[in-house]
Amino acid sequence: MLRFFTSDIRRNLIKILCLTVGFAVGFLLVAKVYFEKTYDSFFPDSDRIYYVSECFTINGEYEEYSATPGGIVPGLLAYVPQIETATRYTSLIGEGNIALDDERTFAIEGINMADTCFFDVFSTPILVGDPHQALAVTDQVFIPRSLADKIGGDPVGLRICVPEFSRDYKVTIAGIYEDFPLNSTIPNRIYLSLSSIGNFTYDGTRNWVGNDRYISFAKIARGTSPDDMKPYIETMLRENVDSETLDVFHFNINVSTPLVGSYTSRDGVRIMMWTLSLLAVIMILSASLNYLLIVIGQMGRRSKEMAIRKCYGTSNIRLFARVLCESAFYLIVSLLLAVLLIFCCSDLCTAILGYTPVQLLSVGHIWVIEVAICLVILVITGIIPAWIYCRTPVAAAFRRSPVNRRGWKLALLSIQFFASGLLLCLLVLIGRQYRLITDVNMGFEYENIGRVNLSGVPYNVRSTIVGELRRLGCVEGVSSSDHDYFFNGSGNNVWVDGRWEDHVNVTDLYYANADILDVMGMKLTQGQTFLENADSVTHQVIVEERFADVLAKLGVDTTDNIVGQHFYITGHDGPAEVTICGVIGNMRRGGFESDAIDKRAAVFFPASSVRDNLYVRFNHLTSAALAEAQTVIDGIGYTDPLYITPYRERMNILTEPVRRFGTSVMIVGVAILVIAMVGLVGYTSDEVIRRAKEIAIRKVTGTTTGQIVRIFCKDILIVALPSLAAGAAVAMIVGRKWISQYSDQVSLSPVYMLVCVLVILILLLCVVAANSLSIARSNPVVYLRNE
Amino acid sequence: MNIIIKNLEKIFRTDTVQTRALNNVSLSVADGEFVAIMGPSGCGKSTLLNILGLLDNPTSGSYTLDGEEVSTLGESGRTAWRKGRIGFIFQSFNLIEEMNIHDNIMLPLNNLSLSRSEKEQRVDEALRRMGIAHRSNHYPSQLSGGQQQRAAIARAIVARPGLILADEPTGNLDSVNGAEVMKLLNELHKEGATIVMVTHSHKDAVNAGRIINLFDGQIVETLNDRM
Repeated sequence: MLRFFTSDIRRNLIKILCLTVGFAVGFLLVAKVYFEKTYDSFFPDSDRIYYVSECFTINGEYEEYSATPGGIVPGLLAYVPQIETATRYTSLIGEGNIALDDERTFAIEGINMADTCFFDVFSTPILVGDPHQALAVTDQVFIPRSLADKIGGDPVGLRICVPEFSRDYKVTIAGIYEDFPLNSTIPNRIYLSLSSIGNFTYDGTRNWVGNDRYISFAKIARGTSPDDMKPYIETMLRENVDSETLDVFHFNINVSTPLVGSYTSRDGVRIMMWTLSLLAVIMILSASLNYLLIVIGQMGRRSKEMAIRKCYGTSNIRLFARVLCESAFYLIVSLLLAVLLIFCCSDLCTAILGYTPVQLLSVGHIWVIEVAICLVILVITGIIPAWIYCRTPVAAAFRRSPVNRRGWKLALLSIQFFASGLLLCLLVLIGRQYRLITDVNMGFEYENIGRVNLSGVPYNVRSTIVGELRRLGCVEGVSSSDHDYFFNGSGNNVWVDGRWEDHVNVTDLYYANADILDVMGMKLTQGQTFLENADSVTHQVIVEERFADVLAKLGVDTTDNIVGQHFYITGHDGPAEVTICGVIGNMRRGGFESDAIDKRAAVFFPASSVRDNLYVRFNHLTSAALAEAQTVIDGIGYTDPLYITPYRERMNILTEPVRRFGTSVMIVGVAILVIAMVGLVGYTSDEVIRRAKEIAIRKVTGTTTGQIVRIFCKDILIVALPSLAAGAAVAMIVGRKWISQYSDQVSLSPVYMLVCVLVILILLLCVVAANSLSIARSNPVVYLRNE
Repeated sequence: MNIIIKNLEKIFRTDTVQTRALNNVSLSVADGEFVAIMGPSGCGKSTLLNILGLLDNPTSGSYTLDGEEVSTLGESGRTAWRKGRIGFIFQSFNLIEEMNIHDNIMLPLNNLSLSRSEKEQRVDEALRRMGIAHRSNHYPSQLSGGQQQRAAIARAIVARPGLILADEPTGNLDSVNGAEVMKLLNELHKEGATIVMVTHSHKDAVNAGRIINLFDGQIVETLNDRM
């Protein structure tokens, strides 16, 4: 029954292997693209959910912030009839742990504080409780089902605390919601009633201006356009916001950015989706074409078999069905193996794509797309060969000379060469870009730094930890700050001489110890660091060099030293006048993508107390040094575990997208290169057999071994060179698009592309030479005798 | 071209079988001589011709061509020797299907250091001489058997080799075309070429100055001055 498979088992196994790899990689890439493409689209009426953002003009520059003051959403609900419902939430804490009264702890994604309409806008099945009631009551939370499952039993009514925050402050679980899908902007966090905000921080839930920390959304009525709401919003603002804010800063509220498409329109996501789609198409196409290549290679023998069948009365339809069934067999076997491969490499897939294969392959209607891909592959691998077999005349099939379908084969090979060239060039570009961003001067050192997160740890314990760590011989210094320097800081406004209307937004890194510059290797370019115990004596600040531009915008003469300049800043218990005591080199915060990087000038304040981020500078950060420091920390005997980790790991978070993308391209690239090589070996073997007589004749007439190898190499070169060049050219285009999202970009030098093309060419020629050498060296008599 | 072979043996070995194709064959062919080799199928005619044409090495014995011992040459040495000095004519023509007649004839010249115009001139000359100039741009499959063999002869002589080896040159031709081919070989012989021809045909063999009969890998009879 499987004679068609066993009769040429080597080639048939190669067919299955190539299809398996193509399916596995292609399906995952397609699933990943679909996952990203359908971001946020699963909410009922998702097309009617819009972001609420604020915008204003300062110093003639228009600015738009995605966060709003707390009073905007209640205002929209009261003034704008087209808005069905609206909500706002704000983050309380990020990833961490919660503890129950029975001391069990659970990891959580974080805690947000949300108003009562949150689940009206972001509809998801409510499994237990009434969110309207629960989120209206202080200190009550709704938890996701995944957390409820981990807690077990009926968690409603249980009390939880966040040890990092405070063990004394407890909230009560009042309900459970079904988790949002993973491809959602809305995280599966614990949602605490917004009315609890006063227990943690300033309550700005009714502010019309300032304290703009709320992420706000509105669901608008069917058939409404964002423009319809503008007059109502204007009325709302006129009646509630002071005229200076409206007339001088042109403060306004936008309800015009739809939730759906907002994520996918980001540069990084768009380019990633585009590139992964390209990789998926190349992968699936290469595997299918390689299958076709092998089928064409087998045609000489199989055409004869089909001709004999035709002689004995088999109709074309039956032949067609027969070939199609064979292809379906290969397809099904490959599909099963691909599923097996995906699950065997599940960890690798998760590391590269960020989600498990199950998560990716279970999103929405992805199966419809995957089935459609299978059908397309069936057309390529089944219908095309069947069509060729059926239209080959019986007489032609019986001719002795092997079938020459060189044009077909070379065309198929050229696509694979093109893909190989494209991916290798892209891979080199990604590698160079990765090296560039990991070598970028961050404005501070991180290689020999360890970091301990001290959130929630009492100040006396923090001081003990610092004292103990400073005693270690392997430790050079210890300091702390409120800020984790790799990431963006929050913004505050600065101005001078009472000219608030000209204020500029800067990054406020809040408080740090005086020795932070030494420990973090921040270069002081002007002035000095804070005075010891500065909390109590002065309002000194250290600023970045680019703060001079801020001062220049504010009308301050910055031609010389800016040390000693005074300015006002918000966010420190009311407007505070401060003086610049030192200037450091600019730091890089927020990552490497142009739209993520925080380019605002930073300012930070002195603190004598130990802050949340503890930085430990080692002589040499080795695992032994880290272990020694960890032992000291453990020896303090604090109730909750505290860990010291290399600060470099924070850098890895920022470089992870590039690394992941590079790994994806590498895997697809290697797979395609292997497929191309397999195809090339098959092609050369077929050619060697087909041209055996020709080579023998050439040898008889005096052609040398080297010349014969050159003939085969030249044939491939003619196809490979333009294909690889085209691949390199497309890599340039794709690469240019990809690196455009980064603030630092490697040069797109054609030299690198040329080297890549040459490397692949050499590889191809080696394969061809190795395959053709045997016939080039063989005795021509052997092949002429057969004539 | 002078050919002298002494005590030549050729043994083909497989895992289980050992076949002695040539057994102690000694033979000399003088420069400008036309020799026909005859014998039943499997007697070793083609094997001898392949060894004479440096397509194959003998298992033992001596083979000198123009005074040079060539029996021990390696593949590259034999290739270098053949280049421009030996022309081959096969029963099945062995033209390359993908090349037109012009390019097929040009094949031996591609390995010689001649100018492009010299090569073209020689190809044109060979085409005209064989009477197939009008078929220059055609492909082998578009030619009759006789025309194909004439193209093969053109290819064999285009490099002006000193030795022409013909393996049953008329075997695939009708009598008219066969006679035409033999007429061409006779002309080449008269112009001074050394020709060794393997044939089953007595009619063709009588064109040669000497007929050597092989049987079971041994020379059993030599008939001189048949012309």
